[in-house]
Amino acid sequence: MLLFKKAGLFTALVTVSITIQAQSDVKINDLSVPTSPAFVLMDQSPASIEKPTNPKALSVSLFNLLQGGAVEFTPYWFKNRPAYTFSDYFKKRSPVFETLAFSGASFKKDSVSFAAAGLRTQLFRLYSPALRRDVDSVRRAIIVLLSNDPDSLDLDAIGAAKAELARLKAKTTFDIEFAAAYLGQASSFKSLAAVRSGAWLNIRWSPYKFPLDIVALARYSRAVDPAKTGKDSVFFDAGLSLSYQEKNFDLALEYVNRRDIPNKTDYHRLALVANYQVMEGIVAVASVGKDFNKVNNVLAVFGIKFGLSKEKASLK
Amino acid sequence: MKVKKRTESVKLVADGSDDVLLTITIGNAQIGGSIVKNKTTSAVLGKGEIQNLRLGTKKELQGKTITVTTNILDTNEQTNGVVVTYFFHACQPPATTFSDKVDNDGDIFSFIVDFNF
Repeated sequence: MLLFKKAGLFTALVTVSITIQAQSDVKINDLSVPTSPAFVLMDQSPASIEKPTNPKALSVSLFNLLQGGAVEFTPYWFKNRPAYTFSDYFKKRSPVFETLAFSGASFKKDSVSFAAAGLRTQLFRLYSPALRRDVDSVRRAIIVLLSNDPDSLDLDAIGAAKAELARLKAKTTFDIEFAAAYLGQASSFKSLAAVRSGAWLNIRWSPYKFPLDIVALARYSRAVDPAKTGKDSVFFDAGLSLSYQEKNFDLALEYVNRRDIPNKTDYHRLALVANYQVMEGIVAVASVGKDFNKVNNVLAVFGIKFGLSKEKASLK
Repeated sequence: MKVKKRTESVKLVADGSDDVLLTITIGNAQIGGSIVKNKTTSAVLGKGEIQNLRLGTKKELQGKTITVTTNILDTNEQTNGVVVTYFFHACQPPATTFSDKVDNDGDIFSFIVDFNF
């Protein structure tokens, strides 16, 4: 029997493609600094991640890591910082150590051991004066809400204010982030040899209360040829993304250049994507540009997206 | 969002050189608010961000207990550790620090401290 159950959005997509050529090798999103760089180089996501908060717990986690698993930690916060206030942290323009997070993972496949390690940090950040004022205003509101007996705290209001604070904190006006990772394999950990490595750099400018977002991205990646019969794959990818977003309309221009270093070849992809919400549930999309291939590389897609229902069909 | 509580008691001696003032600092880049009460009368002496709050003279504070409740919200994604320092002007010891940690990201930790003069 066919039943309709309330669930997620069920969207039918009807797209008319005039010409779509081969898939590009790298998308602009692939160049974003990953949250946990070590896990990105592995083809599998760790089932659980240990997050030690002090050196003793870290040593236990690292010991466990030899048996397989994943760990993430931020050494700067292993020690309490009694004099380091929220305002001090928020004003800091170069929180390299505060945000320096390490990730590590290991697993065994057949008789081969794999170990990955990575780091991520924010090199520079800048908040506009208007954004700083808004963050400080939310901070003061939270302090007022917290200045009460523990049993009389308005937890819903505190939760809402905390969510607003997190939203504002994530809206840095200008920031530079860096990440790097390494994946090795061996029959034993003592004879570990590189399989893959990578480094990412992202620079973002996002004016506060203005719907423009500009991101420059770069990634270096190396995959070692295991048989040593050919060349290693070494790429330097650089991208630029400009997006403009209004209530019913958004426009994005994306450019990615891939440098194949051993073969001394360059590929690039340029795409302009527009979405316009005609009415609720109907969005017109258009994408034009040039893809990676040297020939037949014109990218032109026009279509309509229909959001048919908010009910999801299910069979019982 | 869970609220974890910890109760503490501290013996303070006003040195009599000046009025006793209280300043509270929340560390680890977290956000906290406090409420300061006279334990006997439940009168609120101050709340919010506490900076140079006048508690009284040595004579006024003699034999009294001031209860300070500090609620710290974990807003730092990098750590669940919370730390608070109470600085007393014209008092011994001049500073008292407590640290602990919340169980989950975004929880609240409450330090309820009786300062006995």
